[in-house]
Amino acid sequence: MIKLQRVNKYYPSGAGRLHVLKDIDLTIEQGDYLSIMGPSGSGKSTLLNMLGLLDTIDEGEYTLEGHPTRALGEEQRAELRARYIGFIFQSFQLIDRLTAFENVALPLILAEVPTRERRQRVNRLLEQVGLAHRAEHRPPQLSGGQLQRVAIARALVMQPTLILADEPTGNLDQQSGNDIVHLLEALNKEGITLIVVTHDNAVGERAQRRIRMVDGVISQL
Amino acid sequence: MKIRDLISFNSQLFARHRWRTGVLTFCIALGVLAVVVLVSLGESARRYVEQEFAMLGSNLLIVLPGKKQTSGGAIPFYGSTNRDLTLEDARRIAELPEVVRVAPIIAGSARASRQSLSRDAMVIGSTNDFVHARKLQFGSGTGLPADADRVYRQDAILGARLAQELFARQNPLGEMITLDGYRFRVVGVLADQGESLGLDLSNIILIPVKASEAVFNTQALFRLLIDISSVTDEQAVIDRIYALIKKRHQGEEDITIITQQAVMSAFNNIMYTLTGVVGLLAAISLLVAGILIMNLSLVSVQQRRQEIGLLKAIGASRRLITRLFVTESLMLVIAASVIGLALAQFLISTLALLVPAVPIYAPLWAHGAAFLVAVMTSMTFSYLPARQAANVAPIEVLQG
Repeated sequence: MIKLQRVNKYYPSGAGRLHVLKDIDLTIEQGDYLSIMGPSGSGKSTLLNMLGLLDTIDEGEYTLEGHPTRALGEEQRAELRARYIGFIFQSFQLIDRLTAFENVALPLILAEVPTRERRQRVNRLLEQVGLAHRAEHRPPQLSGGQLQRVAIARALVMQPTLILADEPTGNLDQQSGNDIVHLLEALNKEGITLIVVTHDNAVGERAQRRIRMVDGVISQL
Repeated sequence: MKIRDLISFNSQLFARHRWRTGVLTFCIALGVLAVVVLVSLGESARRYVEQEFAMLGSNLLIVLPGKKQTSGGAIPFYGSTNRDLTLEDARRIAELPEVVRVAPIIAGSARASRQSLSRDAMVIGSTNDFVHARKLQFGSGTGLPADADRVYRQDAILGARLAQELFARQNPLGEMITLDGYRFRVVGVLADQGESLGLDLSNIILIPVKASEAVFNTQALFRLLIDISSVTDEQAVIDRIYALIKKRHQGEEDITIITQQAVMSAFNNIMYTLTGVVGLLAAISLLVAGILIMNLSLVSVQQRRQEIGLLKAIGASRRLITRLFVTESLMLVIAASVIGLALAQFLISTLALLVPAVPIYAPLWAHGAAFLVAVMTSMTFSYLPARQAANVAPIEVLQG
């Protein structure tokens, strides 16, 4: 379960400061499917960064799976990220010199999971996203849709409870985009909390809970 | 991240950035090579000198005429004379019970001629004790006459090359040569022993010291070599020699006695210092390599900000990122050092084969020191880039 209580975030801007998130209160249950939409600069990416523990909040409290996070140091936040959160990015963020297999295995390598178990888990996930035959290919040899599948496999490999997707279809054609959305929804059906930030109304409309952000304030639709 | 994974992760990085890896490897290897080669050459030179001295035997005293009045300074190799050191002094010293042999020496250069051939040579007037002290070996003939310090006899012993030059394939024994107008009969030829302590033994002429008094028209000895038996207290003998000469020279202690050990340790000190300085200069090239590592690593951190952000987003701690970057330069420096050390060893071995006269070798500690300096340099200079990498915020993954 995720709980945001009166969360505020400011960015320094010139002489003053920019109030980016204004008193956000939000509760997300395990297994929820939530989309965050809104114009550029509305603060939706900032909200995603907060939820992903990539950035710190200035006021309020964010509780992730029962862990209050505001007072945590960088190392502890890294630990929580590894344990609970899988990230999916618009530009995939795969490492070009590593194969698909190695990219997916990266979080396991960082967490010092034994090689045998690593191989099993990565192979199972590549199978699940339909890329078992591409395991030894490097990112430049794969299509956009395939890259995002590799990224999804990487996000899942630590068995997170929450998937944060930042414009997951933003760099994909219609067909690949649909495939990716269906893949993510299938994961959600298995019980993973799914939060998607998107510009694309067609993608956003599919979520059970839709949140609109304007000027740092959220409104539920 | 496990060590094995760290290594394979970094190896992939090296494979990807071949140019950068190549340049860094080259610089570090060159630095290590320079340190090992220069230190080895210095050490080899020191060993060479030490070996030369060891050939003289360890219980040799060298008496020089004259005394430097400043005490505590470096050992004087040449003093200035007030009263000549003479053959009579040498004979009195030889009467001391601890003294085994005394070789008086008068030396100078003279023109040795035979028929139309002539050649400049080092002429050493001495006795058979000199032959013993310098461990000279004969190719043919005998030593100097036993009364070389008392009777003027025109006998000469030639160095190997000198004999070759003057007599070609003829047997020189019994033949006459002229030394600056004085006629001498060749009674022996030295075996070819090469150079010893800066003296080219193949180009000397050994004559009785009494005869050299006439050739050089002087009674002043150039120096005395004194062989003392090994059981005695060296300092006590030295003091007795000083006392004896003081009595004979109207109360003036106008000689300087130096010991084999003193000369050797003076040489050793000089060589150690020289080796150290040269090694330090070579280490500067490693410092330059270190600065290059730092610069290229800083560039690499800038280029990889997004990747570092990603690693952090998927759970890498600051410590892990630091380790990643430090390991990267450590791996590079170890690989490059091994290459440098191997090249240095190859170079030194080749040199040793080319110059067999000097015992050139690379001491193990030179390898060790070069490696250690390289590793320490890389650790020092990779610290800053590693810290910068660790400071990259995970949010940078989204800046692409």
